Amino acid sequence: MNFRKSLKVLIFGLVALLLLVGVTGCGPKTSGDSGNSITILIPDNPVAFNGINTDTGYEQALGELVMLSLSETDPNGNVFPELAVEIPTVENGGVVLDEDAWTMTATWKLREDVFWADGEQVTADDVVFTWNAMVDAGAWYAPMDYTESVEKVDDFTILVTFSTVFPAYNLMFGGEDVFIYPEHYCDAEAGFYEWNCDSQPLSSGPYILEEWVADDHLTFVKNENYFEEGKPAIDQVIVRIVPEEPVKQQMMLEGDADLHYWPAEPASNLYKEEGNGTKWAKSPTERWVMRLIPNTYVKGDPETPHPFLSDVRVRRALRMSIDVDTIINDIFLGYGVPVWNDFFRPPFNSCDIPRPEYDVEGAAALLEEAGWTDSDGDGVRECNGCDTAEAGTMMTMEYAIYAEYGESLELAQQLIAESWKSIGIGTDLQIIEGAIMWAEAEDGGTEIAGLFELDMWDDGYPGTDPSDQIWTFYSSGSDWNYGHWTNEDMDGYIDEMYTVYEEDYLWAACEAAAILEEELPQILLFSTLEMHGLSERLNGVLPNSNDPVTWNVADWTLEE
Amino acid sequence: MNSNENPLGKINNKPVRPPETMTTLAWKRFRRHPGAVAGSIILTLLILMTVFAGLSPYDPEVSDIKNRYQAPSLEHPFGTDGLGRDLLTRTLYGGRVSMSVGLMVVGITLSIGVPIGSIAGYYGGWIDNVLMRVIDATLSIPSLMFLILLAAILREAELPFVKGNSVMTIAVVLGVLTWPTVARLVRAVFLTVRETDYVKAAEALGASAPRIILREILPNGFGPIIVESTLGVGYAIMEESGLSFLGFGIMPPTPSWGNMLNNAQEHLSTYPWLAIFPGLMIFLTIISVNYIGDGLRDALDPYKILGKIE
Repeated sequence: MNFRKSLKVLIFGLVALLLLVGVTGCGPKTSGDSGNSITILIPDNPVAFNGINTDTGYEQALGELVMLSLSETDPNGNVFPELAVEIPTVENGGVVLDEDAWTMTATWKLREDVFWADGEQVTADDVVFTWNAMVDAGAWYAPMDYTESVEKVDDFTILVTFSTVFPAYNLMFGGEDVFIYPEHYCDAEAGFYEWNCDSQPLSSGPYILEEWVADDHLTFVKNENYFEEGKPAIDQVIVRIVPEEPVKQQMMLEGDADLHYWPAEPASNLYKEEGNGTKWAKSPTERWVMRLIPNTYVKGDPETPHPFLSDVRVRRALRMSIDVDTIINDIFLGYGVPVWNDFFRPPFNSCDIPRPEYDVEGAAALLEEAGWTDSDGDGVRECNGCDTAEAGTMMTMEYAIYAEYGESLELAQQLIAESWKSIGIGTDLQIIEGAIMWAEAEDGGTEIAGLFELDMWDDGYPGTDPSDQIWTFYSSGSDWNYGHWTNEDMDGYIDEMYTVYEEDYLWAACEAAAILEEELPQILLFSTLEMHGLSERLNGVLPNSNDPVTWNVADWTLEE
Repeated sequence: MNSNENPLGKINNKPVRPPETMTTLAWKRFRRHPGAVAGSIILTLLILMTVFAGLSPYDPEVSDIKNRYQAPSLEHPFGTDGLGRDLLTRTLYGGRVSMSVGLMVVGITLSIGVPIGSIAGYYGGWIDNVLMRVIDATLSIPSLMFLILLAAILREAELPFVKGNSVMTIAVVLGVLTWPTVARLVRAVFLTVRETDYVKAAEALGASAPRIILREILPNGFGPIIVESTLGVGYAIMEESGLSFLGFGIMPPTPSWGNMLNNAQEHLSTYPWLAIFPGLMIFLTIISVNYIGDGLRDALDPYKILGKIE
């Protein structure tokens, strides 16, 4: 071989080598034994490791990989200790009630065998530090309204004093949103929303964040300092940001991923099929309820009642004309359960309120009775003797959903709009980014600013106690009462729900449920399932409607 | 010579045809452009199909939930969508929307671009400088970001004709960004023609500026303007599809080719016909319009016409 030829071969070899290095360098780093590594697919880059800061669900899911809380909830709604030794209760002396003053205290004991990844011990100082940081930042967190103080008793004991009896005390340092942050590591001056702990967290949990390439992937490696002996079993977790649903499906079918977070309903069917190398798992309990939220006031005008959504007969007609069974069975492919009030989960079981009937003719009759008729024959009703609007006002409204859910929700929206059209209710369909819908008012959030007429989205409460969610949606004192419907009796029953006496609690809840059924400030339709697509080799995943699916990631294993 | 005899009628006693007009010559050249002819036939067929979409036995917005995602068949030649609606019917109705957007965008583009280009090119000086900077500024705006922003603003604005994600809203959004191309083209024509002798003669005879602009110079730009307009229709259809694909265009249940493609995303591997047919329609329309534009460019090019005469 002459020199020129050798040079060509050498250059070709070098170029090929560079290309190879470049290509392999583009992907996430994998451990030496890539067989003991799993890949999780999520659609959005998480904003931070902080569920209070941003609440897309992915922040909490990734937070579970690296940080711990005092307590958590299992898939059946049972609260269990994580950093705590046990859950304080009246029975074990951890909770002390002052029935005369109607106040209480809770004493938390911390485990003494938990360490941060840098070797420092997790102590009561970290819990008090986390609480104070949230308070100083003005974070909105329901327990803050009922908490007088959080004090360190000793290195592993915290005393919480409440201004009232507060039944949800057992998840105030945990649940899906709150993690305990390290005092010695977090930049307290930067504050709760800006500090380094949200982008470069120091782990107390089973994994350590090794690499974060925004909008591409995050790589986590096993935390050798994790307190549970022999866990986690999987050495590496790679979280890939893949927005496109078909790409995620393909990656799962090709064996390039192990967990498809919140797949669309058609993908769930695909993963259930035998021979695809995949499986499917769902939570034993439901949580997320698809609901219509009518703004009872004019869009952007909190002083003027809406011309027809302020009339309960119209709201009832809207509900009567929705074929929930068809939506569940045909559009959501059976992945849903009919729900008609916020108290559908145990121990309330809908408070014996019967399921409403689908009755299009009845709905039309109700609209006639409310003074809405189609006198000009254009297919849309007008006010002709209604109580809430000027004569001739057209019965049309904007009806919005959020974009991220995908096609199933869009089709449900169109089917509902078609049904309403058949009884003379016009709609202008809109699809809005969730980030806009639920943004703060100053950032143009449509919900909190009341810049909508009728929206449809899903929400639900974690655990077994709906008190906070009921207060959030229906209390006259809540900024998150999006529909602006208020009722003095309802406010009273919400207050009554804040008790630790079960009988009183159930009574108040069902009285509140009766008012909601009578007034329909929100129209609940069905629950969507908490489900995930899995590779056949991944075991131990237990979807949890009360917590992100990664709640027990330390227990996950891979088949050989 | 007989006074009744046409002096051009015979040369050397041979009959001579009267000279052909520029229009006739342009038409002949257009007919010889196979792509343009094929494009015209396809586009005419597409337009006829969308115009007569109402003859379909199916309603494009009424669901038939038991017939979801049916594959193409005799009953549903393009299959059905996620609510069991006939895809052929929706594609044809979608064509009405998409083509309407295309034509309206061109109308808006010409209404803004031609006057501004004419004024800049005729008057020159500081007027030209100011208008050109406006054009440069408009052209420098990142189009997709601006379109999404404008669509979001217009969606909330309370304006008489521009409401929600309507065809008019989308046309205004696209038209606002596309007029500078036409303005530049018209200005270039004016810069060339305004120095010619016959324009100078018209000025010397005291013709008003509007008359000179409209009667003497502007007709010279008709060729390039027509070509640009045909290409603009294709561009607008494509941009509308892009906007709808991103969720900022025409909202369901009203079908447009763009939002139909958008909705097909999740089912590319399972129900490919949802994407194939609207995609094919966009492809056929754009390629037809572009070939027609190509043909017109050749047909209306005076140098090519003169070359043929010689």
